[in-house]
Amino acid sequence: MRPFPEVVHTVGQGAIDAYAALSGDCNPLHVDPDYAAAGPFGGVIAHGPIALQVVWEAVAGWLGGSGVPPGVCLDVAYRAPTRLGDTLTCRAEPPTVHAGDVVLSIAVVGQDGVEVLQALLVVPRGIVPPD
Amino acid sequence: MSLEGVPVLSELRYAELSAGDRLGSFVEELAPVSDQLRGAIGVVAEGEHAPGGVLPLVTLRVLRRALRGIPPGGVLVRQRFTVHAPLPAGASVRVAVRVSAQREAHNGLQTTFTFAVHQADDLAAVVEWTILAAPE
Repeated sequence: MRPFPEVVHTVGQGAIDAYAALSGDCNPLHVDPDYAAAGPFGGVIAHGPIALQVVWEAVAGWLGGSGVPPGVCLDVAYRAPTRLGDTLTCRAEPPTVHAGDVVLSIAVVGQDGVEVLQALLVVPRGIVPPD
Repeated sequence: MSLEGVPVLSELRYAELSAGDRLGSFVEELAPVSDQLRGAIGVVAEGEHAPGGVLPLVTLRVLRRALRGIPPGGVLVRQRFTVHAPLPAGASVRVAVRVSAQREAHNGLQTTFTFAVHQADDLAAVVEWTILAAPE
């Protein structure tokens, strides 16, 4: 079975602004540094799904192809906010097989080791490429 | 569809929603976003199918339209994506929204939304549920 790749992204204001423009979520906590500095996080935080982007990229690299194949299920628990400038790393535990599906436990951690999200990926065994 | 005319922030509070509420459906075009979500956000890379990053983004757009803006203060707690069919990168999708559940939790009122993403031929391509917490 092909190993699950590690993907690393640093979240800059450019990515946050691009996500705001694409999603239409222009909450000032994401796009206005002065407003965000006075808010509960003391600075800009990224939209929640930005932290998930490293997972989607890793899944695409693992399975190949440009989309998400049928039968894939991804369950995500968000644990901590992503702050401007954070470097996020996506990595997975070795896969297990359950009821014919390949199951991966995935974590996205920041540069300080804080776990930003946990995810469980379930993929039909037949679509996972061989090593 | 354009978000022009839809407020950025909603005057609605999550507490004003009720389990069982149905919102939409809403049509979204994937072509403007698909190729900017394959890797680093905003960096264009072409592909035949919509990447996974399109799914939470499209439902965020739909939530803004459904609630006339995004209610301020909400925290994304959990999401689950189940893919039934691949989405072409340039697909037009119809997204139906349902408020599936609400409950008080340690981090505030948690509201669960279910998004059913249909292709033009009306097949359900993706079902997503999202839990948002609204601290009081």
